[in-house]
Amino acid sequence: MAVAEIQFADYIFPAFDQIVNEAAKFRYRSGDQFDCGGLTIRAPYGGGIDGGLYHSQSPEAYFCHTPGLKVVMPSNPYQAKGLLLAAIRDPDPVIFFEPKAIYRASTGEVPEQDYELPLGVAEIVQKGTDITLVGWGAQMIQLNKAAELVAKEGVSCEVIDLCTLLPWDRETVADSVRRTGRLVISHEAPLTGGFAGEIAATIQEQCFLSLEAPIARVTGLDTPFPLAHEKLYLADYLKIVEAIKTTVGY
Amino acid sequence: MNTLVKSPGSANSNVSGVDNPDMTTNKMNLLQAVNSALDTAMKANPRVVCLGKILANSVASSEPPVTSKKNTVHCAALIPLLRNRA
Repeated sequence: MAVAEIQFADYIFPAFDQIVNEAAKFRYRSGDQFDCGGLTIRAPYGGGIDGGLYHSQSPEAYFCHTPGLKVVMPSNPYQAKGLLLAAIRDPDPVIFFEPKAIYRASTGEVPEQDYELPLGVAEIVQKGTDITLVGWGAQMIQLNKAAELVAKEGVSCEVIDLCTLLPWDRETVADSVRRTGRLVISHEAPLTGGFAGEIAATIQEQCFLSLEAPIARVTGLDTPFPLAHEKLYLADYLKIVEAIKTTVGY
Repeated sequence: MNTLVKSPGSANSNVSGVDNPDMTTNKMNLLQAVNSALDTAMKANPRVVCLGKILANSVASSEPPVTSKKNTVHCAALIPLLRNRA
């Protein structure tokens, strides 16, 4: 059972062929005779550290396009331990993206003992009735801040942390959107080809008649990650608040 | 090993480490939690091998470095191994 760290996620691409063409297909290619023996690849990802274009990217969508992989992105210490233990013990290859911007900023009570959190299960961080907010990793901080701000104006947000992107928990998100009728998805990665597009497409298929407004995406910009204008690039809570207001007022 | 379902305090939590009397908890940051998971995995199964640069060493000061464990391999240590194989 190998747990490999690639630091940072921006530098994972030389291994892309081995991960996508070899590791991800090993079980299928061998007719389920072999697996990767529990391969987990840890990679710190994301912006917020003024790291410029090679130390800030969020490459999760590249890997979510690959059947045979699992893609996990924790947002707090409790999830990090439970999901990493589950990832290490999973027979299939798992890419475990760690939000480096909150490595030290995110703190909480964590059991000393051995425990696992199930892969592919989302967490409803906060119940709400007016709009569903979906995100993962460090972006959950921005979503929670936005939910707190609009709550003062009477907007009740249901906040969902996907935790695992591949496979992602469609049922939890769809159930929520059927109740709220509105959805905002947010990630740090650029808009085009980002994982929010997959979620939006699935939810409009499953919840079309429940939707009260177009699904909104609040993401990084379609540019290389900037050297000097990180704050303009990132999808912060103020941009999310604007999207919530637009969606609720549609 | 226990299977828990959600983070403590989350809206759909039905089991949590904090609420579970069988679990003792410590306040950790995310990096310390990652290290704790690696330690736990290696203790539970000697076949678990950790490889990499291990950023954790430089920032999680209160934790012993993960690379001090027997079944970890720093990336620099891999280079002679790979040379020998070639």
